[in-house]
Amino acid sequence: MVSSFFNAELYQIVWTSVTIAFYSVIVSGIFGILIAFIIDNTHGIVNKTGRAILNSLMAIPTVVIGLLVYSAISRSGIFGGFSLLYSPLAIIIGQTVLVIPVISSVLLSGFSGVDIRLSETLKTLGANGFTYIVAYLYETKIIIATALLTGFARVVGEVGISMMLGGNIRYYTRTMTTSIALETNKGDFKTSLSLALILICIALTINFLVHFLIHDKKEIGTL
Amino acid sequence: MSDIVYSIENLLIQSGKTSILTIENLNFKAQQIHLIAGPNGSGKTTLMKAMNNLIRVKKDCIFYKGKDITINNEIVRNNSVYVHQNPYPLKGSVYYNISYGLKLRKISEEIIQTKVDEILYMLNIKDLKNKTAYTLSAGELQKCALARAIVLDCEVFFFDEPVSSVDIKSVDCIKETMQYLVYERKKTVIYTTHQSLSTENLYDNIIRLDTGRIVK
Repeated sequence: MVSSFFNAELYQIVWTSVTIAFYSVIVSGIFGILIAFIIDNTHGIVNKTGRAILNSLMAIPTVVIGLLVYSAISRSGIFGGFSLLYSPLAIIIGQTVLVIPVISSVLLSGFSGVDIRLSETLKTLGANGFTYIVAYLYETKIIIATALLTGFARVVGEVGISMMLGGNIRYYTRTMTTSIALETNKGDFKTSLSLALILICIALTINFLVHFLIHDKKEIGTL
Repeated sequence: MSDIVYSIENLLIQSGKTSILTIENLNFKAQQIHLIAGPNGSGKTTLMKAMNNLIRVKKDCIFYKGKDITINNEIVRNNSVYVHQNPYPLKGSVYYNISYGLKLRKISEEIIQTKVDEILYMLNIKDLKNKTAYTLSAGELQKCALARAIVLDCEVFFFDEPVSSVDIKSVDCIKETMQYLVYERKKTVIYTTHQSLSTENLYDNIIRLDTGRIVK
């Protein structure tokens, strides 16, 4: 099993997984922050409906999202002309759709715990529009980091979207999860276990960081 | 004779069906110290936040120099500032906190440094300049928040119980600062207290509130 850790292809697979997850989280982070910020600044029925929709979207299975995106980017789909299917970009699109509700929900939950005095202080000191948003996001950057890390942990471990939209193409779209599925089917448990170990390490590191950030957030009184 | 800086007409603020504040008519003259007194829950903070446009109110209820504040938010922002009873420290140093509002007003860094140093000296908190704001004690944070507001040089200052968490020496310093703002700099100060009026002697005008209404 140790020898499988010195396999260059294994690191290429890890690199592909992490890079795709990174871009997915960045893109979904932009949309997620926007959605969370808008819903957080609404009141009454709009706020409740927005939260309910986000929570419902989190329950959609990854293969369903994979199927929907597949139907949109396959040859006969509305974006078929862009030849996106079985490319890293296809996985990024699918993972972005998957993780936007996750990031938005974590952000909304964090924003609702932020002291009302922050908003009032920024407003009374003269922040408005863009300056208000920038200052608010800066002050809540730990919540944002926590949401992004949660999103990263979600996408780096998913298999349905990567398999359906990426196609598990060697040296191109093969990720840790699709590779584990493939190698297990082939009976190569050494490689599967090595990848699983790396995946566990990444997941644990992210969870540790999230835990650390949440602890820090409590210390400075934003919860 | 002083001009009217804030005027309130038929103001009604409700939380659900419960009335929090009901004021039929109230005027605040410029260049005076106005004290809003009353017990906890009497509507002092709500009134000040409403006047600073931090709480939504109906149109044509609160006027700043004759202009409805609900449609003139920018005028309110440029001319008044509110300080919480328990101020919120922005992430960063005391210097960052005090300079934040000036940076929003696009004032040059040189002038900002001069203004911040002046206000730190005035409130006797020079030593706190580079301290992280959220490590300050309640009293230090109160003075930092006052400095953050005063440095903006607004026309009207709303101070919510400004001396509630500071020591006796600092109480004198804050009261002297309020007098300086009004009588030297020709500003208007509106502040609240829930303490006995026998201990409060710093005001030109007093408004007594109880259960959301003005009492004689």
